[in-house]
Amino acid sequence: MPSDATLPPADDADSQERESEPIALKPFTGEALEVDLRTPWIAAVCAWVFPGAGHFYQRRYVKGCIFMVCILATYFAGLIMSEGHAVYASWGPEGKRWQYFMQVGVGLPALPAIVQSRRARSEEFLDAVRQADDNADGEVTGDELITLFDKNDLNQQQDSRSLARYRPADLLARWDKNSNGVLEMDELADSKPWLNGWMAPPSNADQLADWHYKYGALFDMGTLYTLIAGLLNVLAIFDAQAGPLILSREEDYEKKKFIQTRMKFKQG
Amino acid sequence: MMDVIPVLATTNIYWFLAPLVLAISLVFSATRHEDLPPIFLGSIRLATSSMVLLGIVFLVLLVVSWWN
Repeated sequence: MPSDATLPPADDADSQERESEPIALKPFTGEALEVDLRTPWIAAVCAWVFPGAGHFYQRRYVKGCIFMVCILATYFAGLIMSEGHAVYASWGPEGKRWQYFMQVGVGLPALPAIVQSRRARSEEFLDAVRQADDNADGEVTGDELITLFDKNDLNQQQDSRSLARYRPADLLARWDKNSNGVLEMDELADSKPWLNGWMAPPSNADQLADWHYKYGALFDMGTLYTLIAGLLNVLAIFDAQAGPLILSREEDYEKKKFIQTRMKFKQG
Repeated sequence: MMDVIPVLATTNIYWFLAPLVLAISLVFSATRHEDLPPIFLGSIRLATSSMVLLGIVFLVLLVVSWWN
């Protein structure tokens, strides 16, 4: 029985054996995949503006069709099942619609929500101004506006948020088209959201609760569908900008080789 | 449009999962491959594994709900 000192260290023998073993992987000998991304940043912008458009710009028509059909179908399915209420832009007292930041990933189809939001806020403001016509003569003078502002105590009340953005002088400058110092009711054009309120924010928390009551799970499901559509388009944007996320064959080979080597060490 | 809502409202909520999984798996697979056959193969694989995983979660929750 030889002493331990005469034997070679076990680790060294194992490692020499491992290094000498060939790894049973065939190196890649075919042609690498080439994708013409044209101008990547233009493709990315197109992909955001309209799902699939970036890929059409790059002449990758098949993938463009897949992205367009899947993303838009998901988005509009969500929108229809909630009758257009699942997508709206609002950061007001009735609730902070954080989901919109993801829904807007779908691009142009989600942008009307911003226009609708602005119109809804303008309508709130115009309603307040209409109520300021104390003597009901169809005209709102500067004094009546000041009274309105004082009455609402605009710095305190959240409900008057849309009005709080303005000062009486700003209001007159913006809406007084005749420049006669008086706001006439005819000048206060209708600013109600278009399309029967599709993608318009709720006017208050009660209306939001009413939507939840009316649509039930469909409202949440519509939100989920539209939100996921937006996130899926983010993937499509990255694909348009940088190409598919596949590993190159060489990288794939190196990765497999590394995994095999690690497995051998564990077995040893 | 109004005719669709009552039909959808009475549909079991789990049916909404299938088109969502289909769309997600197709888009995700399309970001991993460039040609159509591997995209479809990848999406079928991903959709199947997602449905199996969700099915397992569903069964676990079902079993847990029996105890309450």
